[in-house]
Amino acid sequence: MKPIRYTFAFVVSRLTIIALRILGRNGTHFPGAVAMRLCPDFIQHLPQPKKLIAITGTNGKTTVTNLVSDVLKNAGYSLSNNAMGSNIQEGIIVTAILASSFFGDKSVVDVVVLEVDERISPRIYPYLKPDVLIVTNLFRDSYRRNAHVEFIQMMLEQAIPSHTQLIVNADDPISSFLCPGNPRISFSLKALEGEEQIKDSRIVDLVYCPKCQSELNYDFQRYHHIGQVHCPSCDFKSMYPDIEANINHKKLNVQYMNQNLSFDVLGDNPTDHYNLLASIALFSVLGFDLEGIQTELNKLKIVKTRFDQVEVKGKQITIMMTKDQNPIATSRIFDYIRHQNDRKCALILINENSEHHTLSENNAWYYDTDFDYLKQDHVLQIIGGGHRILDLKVKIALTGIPLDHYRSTSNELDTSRLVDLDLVDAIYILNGTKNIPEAKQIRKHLIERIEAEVQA
Amino acid sequence: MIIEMLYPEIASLYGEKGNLDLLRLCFPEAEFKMTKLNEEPYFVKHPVDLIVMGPTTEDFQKHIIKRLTPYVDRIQNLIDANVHFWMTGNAMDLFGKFIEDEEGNRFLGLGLFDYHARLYRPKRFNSYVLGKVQNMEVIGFKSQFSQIFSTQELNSWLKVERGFGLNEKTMEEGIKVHNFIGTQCLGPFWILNPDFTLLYFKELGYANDELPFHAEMMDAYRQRVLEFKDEKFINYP
Ligand SMILES: [Zn+2]
Repeated sequence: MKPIRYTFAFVVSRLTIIALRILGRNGTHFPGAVAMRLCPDFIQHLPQPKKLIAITGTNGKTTVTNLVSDVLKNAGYSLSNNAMGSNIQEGIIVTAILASSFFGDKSVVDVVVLEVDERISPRIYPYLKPDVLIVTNLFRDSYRRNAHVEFIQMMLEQAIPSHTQLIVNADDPISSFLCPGNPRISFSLKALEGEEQIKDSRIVDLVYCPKCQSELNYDFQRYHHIGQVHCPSCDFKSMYPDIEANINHKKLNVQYMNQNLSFDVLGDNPTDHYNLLASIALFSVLGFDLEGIQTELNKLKIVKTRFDQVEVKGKQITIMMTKDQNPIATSRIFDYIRHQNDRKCALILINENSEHHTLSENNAWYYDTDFDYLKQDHVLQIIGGGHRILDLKVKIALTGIPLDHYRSTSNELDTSRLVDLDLVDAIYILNGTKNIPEAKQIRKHLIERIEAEVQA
Repeated sequence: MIIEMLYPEIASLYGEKGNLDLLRLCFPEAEFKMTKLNEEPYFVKHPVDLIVMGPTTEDFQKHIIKRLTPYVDRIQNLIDANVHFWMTGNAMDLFGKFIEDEEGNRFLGLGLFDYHARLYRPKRFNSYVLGKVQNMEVIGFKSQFSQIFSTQELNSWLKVERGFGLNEKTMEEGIKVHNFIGTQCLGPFWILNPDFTLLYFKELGYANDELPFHAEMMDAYRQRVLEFKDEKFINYP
């Protein structure tokens, strides 16, 4: 028997979800807050899903959650996930409610797929115990909330149940060694022929051997601490992967247990390949026939909020999610931009704008981000929009980018006006997590301007 | 001029490399010694003018203490000889008597000053700092797991007006002994406070009347000061 307080909170919260839906609102957070208000230990009483798959890690959570959910749905599973909602307690509660019977006494779907913010693991996993947990990677993230990788590692170590099957990236020597006693499947992307190593990152979160503090040797450094390492003084080295892949002609070729399979890539970046590999590893753990999964995955396209490109009269506009407060995600995007050959404009809207009226956000993370990647001949314009444009200007100046390349406006939506369409052929709109609609609005303005001003 | 950065590969969390960028820009002629964790610090056998260290992880705090303990006397001599030290974030913790973790375990610090640090993970102390160094208005951010306590009165460096000092119960922030400055303020602090930094760099021999991009940094500074004084801005949760 569940406590009455829980059952009451469950029903009220469920009715709140229904009411919000009738009003046409996306109730992915508020009903969860209601449940916790009415019953502070609500999560502890939620029924354990028949199958619980959790996805955590600094970058790639949402993409992987979407990928695996889509494939599972297509395979006929009834499923509940928080892909469109929040990845903290409230969002997780709403997802769990939708997966449960009316009074919250049992789970009624085949699978629950949860994207879980690393920080809240201790408040989730002791109660909703994942059968499988994908850890995409671990990097430094928001300084205010996440502090540093060692702290996040500690939180996960304390929270992950000992029976949970882990899926880890063997190319991440931090997250792949989490919870050494747990069963795990690991994947790796082989160094591609001629693949450029990125050794000029401002930050590397793993420099020293976790066992003996000798300086690690990077045998291959894909970016930041992602790659292959070994310790010159002890036996610590990157994990030998269970699933190995390489890229050939836009195909991800996977070797696993004497099988050779080929998948369409999701995008051009290693991060896209890692997200795909994490999903493939999950399906192998779930016992799926990988040839069938191959067909399903090849039908999918990357979620559009992360990378979205259009071309109008020869001008390319790309919206890219860069995640505010996250120097790694932003550096990866800057690295992508520096490798494109067009005459470029970077339109930077990463400043937690939605909170600006009550929060003076610390922009220290700019100083861990590889702005140097924008210091090149092809980047002809950098445009800042939003509340922190003065900080951005200082960072641009200290990077050594000529200030006459920088224009800005505190009104994000006005940034489209500042793009010099005679000067640039490719415009990258770099938004944060909270201003996706604004980024789309800016793109719309740009398209209108191109239609009106550019000769075909 | 010789500037030593202690362990920048691990002790420069929260954007503190930005301070180094500004330093390099302002002192192009200076010799920069970047000391790694397993190397003997340059200051042990050579004269230096400035030693800088930033915040690190709680685990590396212990490793750094272990590396620096053999040189406590040398560090004391350098402090007494008015060498400049600039220690930010939890770098300050290392110089006290001990660091106490959440289970009550104590790790001996360098014992150079009469205070100790206590860790409160997973609680994170985030705060704006608005205050005065001498008569100059300065700003900073705090994001940390530790608090510093002392049974003695310390020679604080900064009087806080908004935010908190060495711990949540005091408005006295940082420590200044001769030219040793320790502060929990992040930022990177020098970039956030160009007028303060100009004076500080002048002490170190900077000869111009302005920093590079002084005007741009001042614009950003003025915006922050207004925000930090504005009651409707919640205190950096
Ligand atoms: Zn080792």
